[in-house]
Amino acid sequence: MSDTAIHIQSVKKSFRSKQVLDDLTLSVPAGKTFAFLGRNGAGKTTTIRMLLGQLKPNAGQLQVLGLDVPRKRLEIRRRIGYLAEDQQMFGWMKVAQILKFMKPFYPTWDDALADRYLKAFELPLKTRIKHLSKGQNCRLGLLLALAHRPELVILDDPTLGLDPIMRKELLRDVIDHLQGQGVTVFFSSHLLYEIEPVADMVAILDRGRIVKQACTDQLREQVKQVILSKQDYDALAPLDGLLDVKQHDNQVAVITDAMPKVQAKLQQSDIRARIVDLNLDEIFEAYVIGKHHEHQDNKSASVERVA
Amino acid sequence: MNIKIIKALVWKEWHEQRGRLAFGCVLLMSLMAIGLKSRLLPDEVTIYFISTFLGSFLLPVFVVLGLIAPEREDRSLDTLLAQPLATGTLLGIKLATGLVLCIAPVLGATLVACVMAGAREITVAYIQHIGLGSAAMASVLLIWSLSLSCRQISEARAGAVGLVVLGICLLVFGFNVEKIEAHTVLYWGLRYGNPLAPIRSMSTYPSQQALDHFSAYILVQIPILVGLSIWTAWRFKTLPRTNK
Repeated sequence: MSDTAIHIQSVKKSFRSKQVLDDLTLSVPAGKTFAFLGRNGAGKTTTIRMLLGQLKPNAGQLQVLGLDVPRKRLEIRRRIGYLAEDQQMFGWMKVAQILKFMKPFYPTWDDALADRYLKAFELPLKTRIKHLSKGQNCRLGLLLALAHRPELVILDDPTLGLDPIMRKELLRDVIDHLQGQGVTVFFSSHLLYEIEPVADMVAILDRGRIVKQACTDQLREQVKQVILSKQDYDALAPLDGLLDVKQHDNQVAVITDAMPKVQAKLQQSDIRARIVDLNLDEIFEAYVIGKHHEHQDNKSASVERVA
Repeated sequence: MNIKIIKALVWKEWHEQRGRLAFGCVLLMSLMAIGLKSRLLPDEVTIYFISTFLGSFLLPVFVVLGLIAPEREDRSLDTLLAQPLATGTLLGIKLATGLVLCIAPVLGATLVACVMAGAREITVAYIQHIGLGSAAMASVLLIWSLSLSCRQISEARAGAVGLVVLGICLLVFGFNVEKIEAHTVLYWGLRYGNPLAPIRSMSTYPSQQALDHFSAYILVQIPILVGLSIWTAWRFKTLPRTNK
């Protein structure tokens, strides 16, 4: 088995004149839970559709489980489990019927595992899909994505529309279970708080480009907020890895992704500053909205930006 | 090609389309029986109206709107297209289902006509000729309509495309081909490229001219249908996701 579950190299994709992915490069190591983060319309679903061979890139290369996409797309789809956002299935089928229908598509389908998931997810075999609740529908989608023992599971915002408790339960149970089995999980979402406890690695996608890819713990170590006085900030400027700067009265709150360097600089200059740990939500915001401010500020010279 | 996959897809199509198949068969067969029993019109006119007008013109439109568009509308097709299935297999089974839905009611109506009015006013062979010609026209019109409507995201839009195709075919059919120089590409295209072309030769039965005309129609249509099927498969493969 390849060490890299997904390898995307310099992929570009545009729909007519709209550039959706611009030189996208990322690598997902096998056996890890990888969070693919981005705002709505950032290009997450387009990337996933390309991984499944449903879309062709305009330029660049994609490999899934060591196989070229889209040349080997059917072989890839047999070996991965995929759950789309708000996935719709055939409403007239009963749960038992859809299991029977999907089984021939996957040579590795495991009836015993499907039965185990059926019990674990409390799915009624004789109920028609159109009569299932949203949560049951999502769990059925997961069952269908997992019953053939995939090597890689691609989840595209699968918990969208579920209530927070159900989301938490689903993620905790399923991802814990998959991590235990050494399955690679590629999880796309914009609900960061649900990903934070389970993700080993994170990639942040903004306007078709990866702005950051790192291990979650490493990211938390590298990206922090530093609060210091305006005078101290001016004395230290320019700071390394500046993502976002906000000024309130005489205080400046800086988010940097080069914390070790900034910390060394603070010690060197003997400046006292308050260092605040950030959660994934705040880190994501700093990369995406912080950069966004920078773009706007180039034009409007906003007060929030320090030159 | 995996036979188990084909069986699963055929089973799905059967469950989805059996209501339409039953409706088409019951409608055409019962109308044929009522028309021939009441004898309000000559048998030939009744058989032409039901087999050709209802069977070949309207049935393909009715079939095409229920074949792909409902699955695109409820987004279950997106789920199916993400499975390890060749788009050619998927489309081939949809096409075969559509052909059965078009041909079975026409052949059923022809059978009723043969039983009820065979050799009464027209011969059984003539009734069979009308039935087979109508089934061929229905099949060709279905493939044309399906090719042009496969990306439509609602039944209404797919049905509208089917009606537009039918309308254009009728308009072209009304054009006097004899004005054009014979044996040019345009002449062959207009004379035999039109899905409704067999109507011209149906009423001249039995004659060598009718047979020649039908053979030329099949010869011209085969490459067109192969081309359309390849084009449809390509369009199907790059089907955009249906928006919520």
